[in-house]
Amino acid sequence: MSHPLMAGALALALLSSCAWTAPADDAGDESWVRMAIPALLGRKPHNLDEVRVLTRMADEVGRAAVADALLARPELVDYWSQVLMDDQQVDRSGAAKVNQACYDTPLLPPGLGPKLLAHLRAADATAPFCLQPPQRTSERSGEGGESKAEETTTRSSTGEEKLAGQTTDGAAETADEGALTPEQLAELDFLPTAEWFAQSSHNVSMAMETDGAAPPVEAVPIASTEDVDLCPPFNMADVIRAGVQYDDLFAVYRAALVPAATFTSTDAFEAASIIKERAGARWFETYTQRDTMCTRCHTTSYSTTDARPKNHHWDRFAEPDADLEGTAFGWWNPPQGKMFYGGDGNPVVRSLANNFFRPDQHGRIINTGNMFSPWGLDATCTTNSQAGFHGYRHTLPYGSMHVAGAGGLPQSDQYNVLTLANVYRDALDTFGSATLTLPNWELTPTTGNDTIQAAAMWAGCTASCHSTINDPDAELEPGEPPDLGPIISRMSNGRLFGVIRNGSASGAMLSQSTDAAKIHRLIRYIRNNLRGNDIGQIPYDPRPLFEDGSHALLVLLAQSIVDDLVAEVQGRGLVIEHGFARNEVTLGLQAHLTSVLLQRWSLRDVLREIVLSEAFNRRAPVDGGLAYVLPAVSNPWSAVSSTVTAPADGSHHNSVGDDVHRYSVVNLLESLHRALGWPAPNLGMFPTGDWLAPWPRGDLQHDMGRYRSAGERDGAQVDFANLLAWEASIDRCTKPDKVRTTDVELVPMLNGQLVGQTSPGFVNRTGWVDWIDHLAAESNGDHSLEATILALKERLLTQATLTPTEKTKLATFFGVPLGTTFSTVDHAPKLRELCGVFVKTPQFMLGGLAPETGLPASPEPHVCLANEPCTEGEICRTYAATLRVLGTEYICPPSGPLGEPDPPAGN
Amino acid sequence: MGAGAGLALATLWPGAAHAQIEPYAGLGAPYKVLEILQVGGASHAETVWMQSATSAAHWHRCATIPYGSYLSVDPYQMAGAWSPRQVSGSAWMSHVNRPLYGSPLWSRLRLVAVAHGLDPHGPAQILSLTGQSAGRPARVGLGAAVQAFKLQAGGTQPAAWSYVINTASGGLGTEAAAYGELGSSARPLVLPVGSGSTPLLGRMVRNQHAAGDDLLAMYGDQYGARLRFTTQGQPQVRSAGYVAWDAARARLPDAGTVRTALTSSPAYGLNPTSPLPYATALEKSRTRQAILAAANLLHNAGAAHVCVLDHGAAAPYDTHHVDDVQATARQKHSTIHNMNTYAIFAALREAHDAGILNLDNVLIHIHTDFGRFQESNGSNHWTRGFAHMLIGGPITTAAPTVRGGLTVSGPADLTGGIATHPLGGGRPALNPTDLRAVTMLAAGIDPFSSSPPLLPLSDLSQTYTGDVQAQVQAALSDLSGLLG
Repeated sequence: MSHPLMAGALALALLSSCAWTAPADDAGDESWVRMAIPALLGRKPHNLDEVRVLTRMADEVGRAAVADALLARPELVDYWSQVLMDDQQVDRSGAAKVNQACYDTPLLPPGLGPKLLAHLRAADATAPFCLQPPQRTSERSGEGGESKAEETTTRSSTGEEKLAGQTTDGAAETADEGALTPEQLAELDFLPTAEWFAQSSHNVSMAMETDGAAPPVEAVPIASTEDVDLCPPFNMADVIRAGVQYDDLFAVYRAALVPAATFTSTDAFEAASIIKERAGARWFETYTQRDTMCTRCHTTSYSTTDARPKNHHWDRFAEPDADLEGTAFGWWNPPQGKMFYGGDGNPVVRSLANNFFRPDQHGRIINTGNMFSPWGLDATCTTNSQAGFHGYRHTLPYGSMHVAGAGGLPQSDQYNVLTLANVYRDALDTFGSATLTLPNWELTPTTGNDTIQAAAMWAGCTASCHSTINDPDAELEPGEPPDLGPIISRMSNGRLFGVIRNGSASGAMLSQSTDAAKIHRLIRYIRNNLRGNDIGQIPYDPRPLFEDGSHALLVLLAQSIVDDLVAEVQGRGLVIEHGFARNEVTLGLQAHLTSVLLQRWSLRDVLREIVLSEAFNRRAPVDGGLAYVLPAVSNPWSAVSSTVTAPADGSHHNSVGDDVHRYSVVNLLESLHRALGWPAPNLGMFPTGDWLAPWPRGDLQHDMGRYRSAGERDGAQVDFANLLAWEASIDRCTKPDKVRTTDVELVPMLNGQLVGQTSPGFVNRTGWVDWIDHLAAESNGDHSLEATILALKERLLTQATLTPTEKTKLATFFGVPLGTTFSTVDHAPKLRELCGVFVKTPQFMLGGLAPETGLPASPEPHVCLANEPCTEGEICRTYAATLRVLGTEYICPPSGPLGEPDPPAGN
Repeated sequence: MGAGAGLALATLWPGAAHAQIEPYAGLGAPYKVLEILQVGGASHAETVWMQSATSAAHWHRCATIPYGSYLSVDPYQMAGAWSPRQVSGSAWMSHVNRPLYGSPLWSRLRLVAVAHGLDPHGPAQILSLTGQSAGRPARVGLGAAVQAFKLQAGGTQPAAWSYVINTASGGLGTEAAAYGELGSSARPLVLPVGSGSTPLLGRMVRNQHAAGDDLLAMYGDQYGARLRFTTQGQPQVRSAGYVAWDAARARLPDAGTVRTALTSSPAYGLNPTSPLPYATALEKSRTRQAILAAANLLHNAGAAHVCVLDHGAAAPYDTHHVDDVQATARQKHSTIHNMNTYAIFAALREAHDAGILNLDNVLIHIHTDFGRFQESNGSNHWTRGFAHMLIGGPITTAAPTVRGGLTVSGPADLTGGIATHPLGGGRPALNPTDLRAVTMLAAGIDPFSSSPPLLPLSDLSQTYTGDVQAQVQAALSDLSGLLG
């Protein structure tokens, strides 16, 4: 399928091809399924049958198809919306944070997502989001011409496009026109289409509150544009959920620039300049993956570890293929002066970034009454009500006069965050025709000021970040001269400038008083003329360079998003700040995933590639077996084994261990709630909505590592304090009182039968029932203690066997042999305590390595919840139906291990 | 009790499996170490190393600020007649010294002039905590070194030998440096008391049975077994994530022991319900809580090291510009730094007077990112000369009070001074690596003899010559001399 954006994306992809092939250390399909479900959906497998079905499917139709089926699950929206909010630093410790009110309860009715995203992707900020009167597909298709917005919709709403190509029989092109019949809805129970929104828990809950009643899920109407204001307000909660659901991350990040402009502080001591700096730094971090502190010295060509003269093992790095930073920021040619790329222009860049968020541009006093709302965003997104001090109550510019047109930045200081929004939009529009050119190494500053600035900065850096004031090359052993060859080969011109000028342990090449211009001439001489001697052996590796800086800026954004997505899945990103990978594996994966994102800005596309990559599903060392060599994929910082000689190529043994990480707080809490059948957790997406009760508490999330600081993501390790916090909050898996109960309630099923219900398919919203209690009640007098334990273990850990040691310890735990008939009175309290143990285990808390594999028959009794397909046959038919919608035919086996009847014809 | 014995020396400790951390006995019995990092860059020029006694301009009349707005009660009469005291030569301390005065905390205090070139906070904090520059993942704070050293010795200890108490969240790089970069069981036990954390003591009353903990350990072993491989006949697990989980799990049963240690003394530290003599709100007492908790852990729980990451009792240390006129800005800046430092001293005095901080076996090390110098409307970072403080331990009352100097090259109230070496003679000033080495020596650890060494010789301020052994001996001699 041809796509207008493909040309540029493919050009980037040429930098590194990373097509997936099963590597030698792949852990197999079952392991992959066990890893992929929590990675993509933020929950554990419901039961062994789900793993069994998907493993079989992966074997027969491939992992890619199974990944797509998982990506069509509705859980994806809740989970990844939370992750994106975290990425945008909405809620953080301390005073500085993005405007939270903008991320509160969604404002739009369901079904408007595609139109909203198309608007945000393409429209000028001066154009409010307004709806066209409803048009039927047949009417529109007969018009022969489409509006610009509609063209954009076609081009940009990738999910829509994908569905249009993947559904059959004239499936609708837009969400509000409905692709599937109610019968199909009922059959699938989840859909890879816009109907998700109507069925998502949050929106159902809203509908219930509005109506004061509890309609069944099937009865929730899909919104029609006839039902709403023609220019309805919306906020970032709408945008993020729509962006995840309809697969358009570009629109999300373009719109998010606006609430970012109201990023501020409630600290009364902070000046406007500091506020501006914080906002600029946040943009710099989130949109370019650059840390403003580090970029004082580190440029694209100067890694945050650089090429050290000594092998400390962790000094592995790989250079970015494209000179993105220099291109992006050099292109801007800001009024402060031409950027000296490679030396240090970052004070200029930082100043430029900050100035997008200037209070004098954004900080008009609110009472002027001349505000406007970019794209029609709700006022909560354009005003920071927390900043009521010192007159710096931020609003956005009060008119279009400050909104620059396309074609780059204005040369005056009359630019602001909306200028930036247009730069991104225009870059996207022209990216398909972007050309690549060889790098321009003529980087010698053209003005004296630049030279002075660069020289001064590098003098400071050399004696600064990585050495003491007394010994600029302190990392060398005493008396050891540096080996300049490998260093220079990796150095930017600016870094080389610093070394030449400021010297090394072996003495400065030139005196401090040497004119900078001479040094630059020397650098050029080294690069271009010295061949055949030591320095001349330094490879000169021209790298592709985007001609248009805005395209480089776009790629930086894509890289940044990709890294955050990988970090959520694998516990850490591919690169450290500044885009530097640490080995060829992460470099290649970064290039590949970035090129994938640039094609359609599709979250699902990237997630699919992540779980299909070689880095995702690697084999664990066998107990007692020998070490085996792997590239250090996930953790570039990992020290090599002290007892196994590291290969010279930077690999080390059993680095799959580096992949093991604590699941993110979002993932853990979503997993906990879904496993226990609790309503969706309130994780701060809508922090102030009074329809949500305050659990899990924000402090639990803080204690677990989320929202700890402005610039940091979720810390991904277990420690004593957060394990205590986790334990204290969950205790015995008793639903805390404050977990909201007005949402779609789940009713326990045992062996495929609803408990306490009169008719299958009816969802009880009034009487939440704890399935552990029901399990105990059902087991009382009928099942053995061991069988009941297995039911609990299957639901929480997707395992249903007990080792001899485990049996012994469990018998000690319960105080009776496991063959004892279960007694509610005697054993139910312990059963709950065992649940508390299970959710603290590494099998539940840690990702990066599939827990023990093995697919025994599902135990009896068997727990699953009312709105989940329960038996192997039901699960298979459900996923097969999804695969069919996605274009893959899969025939479920005529009967599963449980002997369920053959599926209906066609499945 | 005793679960600490279950903490194996992790393979992820750099060098642990093949390199012994050598003891250092040159200072006699090892001392416990209480280190306090003033996170954000504390102003020494207005608090502990003023240039003169009389120049109120140096600290900008902070006494005119109503301290009552911060502290409802001032047990050490800080708001009274201010009384800077001459420490030695040109070094003076402002009235923040009042809590120390009249106690061994004052008579066994030493100011050390230190310099480096790390202007950004993050690298400076990492340097101060680990003695090594940024970009070295195997760097570890003193706590991790102590923990590894103790684990290596094979002793048993509830929970941990080393703790880190963070009074606020944020700065994961700094936290990682304090904890130890790798997820080793040598990481100190972390006790957050910062914003957003529920009271830790409440959680330490666990509602779990021993059999449940036993089960949890078994499931951990099941998981870890899949990561285990054999090399040179020994099983090994290389997984920071798993080891971190396992270390946390192993410490869970000791939560009650830690809680008892924290609450068994008159100064309750972390207990939010304890009577607070001078603070009216929890927010203002985190520094005090953390320091009293640290003292309790050292005194009651067998801890050998506690690091307090202090983010300021009154306000964050990192004051730059403020939205006020110049004079008021300076006053606020001065007040914040005086108040924050005062709160540390007051808590130390409280712990000492309560009998839980014995200077005969505890060395206190107060350090910070860098100093500050005055700007027209606030302050900024000053790396070229500032003060670390050492109190107690091997420092006796007869020893010199100041090591090194801070020369002033510009207007006295605008600069922080440029550090000079204690021995003069053109030697480069001491740096944070030196001070980290000093505290390791006090803790009974040789920072240079393992391979790789805990601290590289090349990072010390002095350059040594000769073979490696000769260099080590010379460095040990110089550094231990700083405590004499």
